[in-house]
Amino acid sequence: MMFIVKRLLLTIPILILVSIMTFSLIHMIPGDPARVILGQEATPEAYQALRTELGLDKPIVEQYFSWMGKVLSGDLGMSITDHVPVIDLISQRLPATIELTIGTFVFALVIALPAGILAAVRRNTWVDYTSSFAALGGMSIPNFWLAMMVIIYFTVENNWLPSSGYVPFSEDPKANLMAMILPCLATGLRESAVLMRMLRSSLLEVINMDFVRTAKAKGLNEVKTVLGHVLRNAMIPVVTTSGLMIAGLLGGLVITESIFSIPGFGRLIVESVFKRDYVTVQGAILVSALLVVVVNLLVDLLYAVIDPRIKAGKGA
Amino acid sequence: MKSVLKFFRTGLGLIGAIIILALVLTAALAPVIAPYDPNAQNYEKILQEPNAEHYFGTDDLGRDIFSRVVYGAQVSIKAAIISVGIAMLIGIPIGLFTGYYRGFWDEWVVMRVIDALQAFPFLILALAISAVLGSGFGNAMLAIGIGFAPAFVRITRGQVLTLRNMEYVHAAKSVGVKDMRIIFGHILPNAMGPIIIQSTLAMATGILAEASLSYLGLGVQPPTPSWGSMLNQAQTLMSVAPYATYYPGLAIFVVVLGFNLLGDGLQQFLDPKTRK
Repeated sequence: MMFIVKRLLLTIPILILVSIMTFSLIHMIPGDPARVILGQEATPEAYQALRTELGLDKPIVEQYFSWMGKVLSGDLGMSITDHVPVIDLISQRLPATIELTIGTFVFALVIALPAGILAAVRRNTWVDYTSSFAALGGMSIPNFWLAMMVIIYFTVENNWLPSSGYVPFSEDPKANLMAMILPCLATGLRESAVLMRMLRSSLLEVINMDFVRTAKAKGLNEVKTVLGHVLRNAMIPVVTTSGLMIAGLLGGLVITESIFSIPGFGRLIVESVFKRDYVTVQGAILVSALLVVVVNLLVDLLYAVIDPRIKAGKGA
Repeated sequence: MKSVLKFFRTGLGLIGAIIILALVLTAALAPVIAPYDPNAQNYEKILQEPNAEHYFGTDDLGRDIFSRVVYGAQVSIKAAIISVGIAMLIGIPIGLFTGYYRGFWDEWVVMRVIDALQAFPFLILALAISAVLGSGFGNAMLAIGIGFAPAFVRITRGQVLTLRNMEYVHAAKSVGVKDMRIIFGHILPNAMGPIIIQSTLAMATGILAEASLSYLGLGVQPPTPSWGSMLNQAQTLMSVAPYATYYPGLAIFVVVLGFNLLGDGLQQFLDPKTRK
């Protein structure tokens, strides 16, 4: 219990600092933010109205607390270009990103788990060398290039799968899944490489420990030893990497969504950057950071489930 | 010299080093290697498939893709050096001082700011900074450098926390050596191993990040050839000229692989657990 309380308390200063950094974003714009957003041709009335809307006519500390008060009540401001609440824009875009994140993660796991286990169990054999080199290669492939390659192969040359045309799962599950295969493949391959490397090195740390030798000496076969004893003890770094991966994907599928025309959260940020809709950029960035903080918190709490020594304050 | 030879014997490091050397030579000798001006448009030769005259073909403006890929190496190498350089300039001193002096500033200010900065997904942070400062190569480098800095703070600080308790540091203190001299003369040289590994791996990510920002239109601006922006332009040609997407992406892949191999090789060489 103390572990959970302590971890929750540690999150508070991070959240405060994240809010200050996000708030500062608009104030980092060189010159007058309202002038930059509206351009030089804006009328004095429009200029003044935007300054008032953004609260730029108040002292900076007052601006922060007023903004923070609104954020806490779920108000992230009004989009400058679309004139709708930013929170609505985000909540419209998040489901596609969440679906893409889950699909990518599942795809990464399906490849990384067997490859990582095989590489560790068959250490220094061709299986290990091949999968390790493939993983290093996978980590080096730019996502957006891989996305183009899969589009050329699966869509342009063979017409097997669509490269765009996202529809929500609730409207047409089949079309939705078909549209999600290529984006998940293009993003998941790289993520599987990262996971596989982490799993392999983590398994190698555990595989030579005394309890594993004891299990083998007692006659347990290799599969049962690895799956029943080694894997669980090697999971903490893998869970950490998975957590960071999910957090990064939730806020960072910017390019995949752009290439496959998926109306997701990442694409919203890119569109807002180009439209100079700083209020939306600010709100979206705050949400992406909050997602990372929450996922990291959940991962830390998951440690306690995987390794009870942590909950008892005896573990790492 | 012996240790350099030993490092190259790891194989991985050698392959990585050869790739990076090839990148540096390509960037330096681009005017000699490239058969055409990378920005010269030739409307009589648009969208030509790879042939003896244009090894990688031409794009929709008739520009020679091979020449553009060769010149693109200059952007990538600059991106790797400048972005990681900025991150090191910010991260290493902060890591050194906070790790050495510790206390309130270390625990409650610097490390919590680092935690908060790391809460922002890397590309989103780079996008946000580029959005505020404006697009362009310089701002993209600044954005990527700021994004990388927290990792350097953590690595340096972690090293200093161990090294500050070493006997040679206590000995230096006891004979009255000044803190600055201990930090920069004794601790920093001994902390460099993991920092070098981190910088090599960060260069790989830096090249990817520059390419990503340029792909999104926030990095290098046309007509300067950058592998990321070339992919952006080639994306619209995927159905008529797929070859236009092959080579810039392949170049990014090979170079990033080179830095990753070098980083892995260094890690194996410097880590006592994996060093044979």
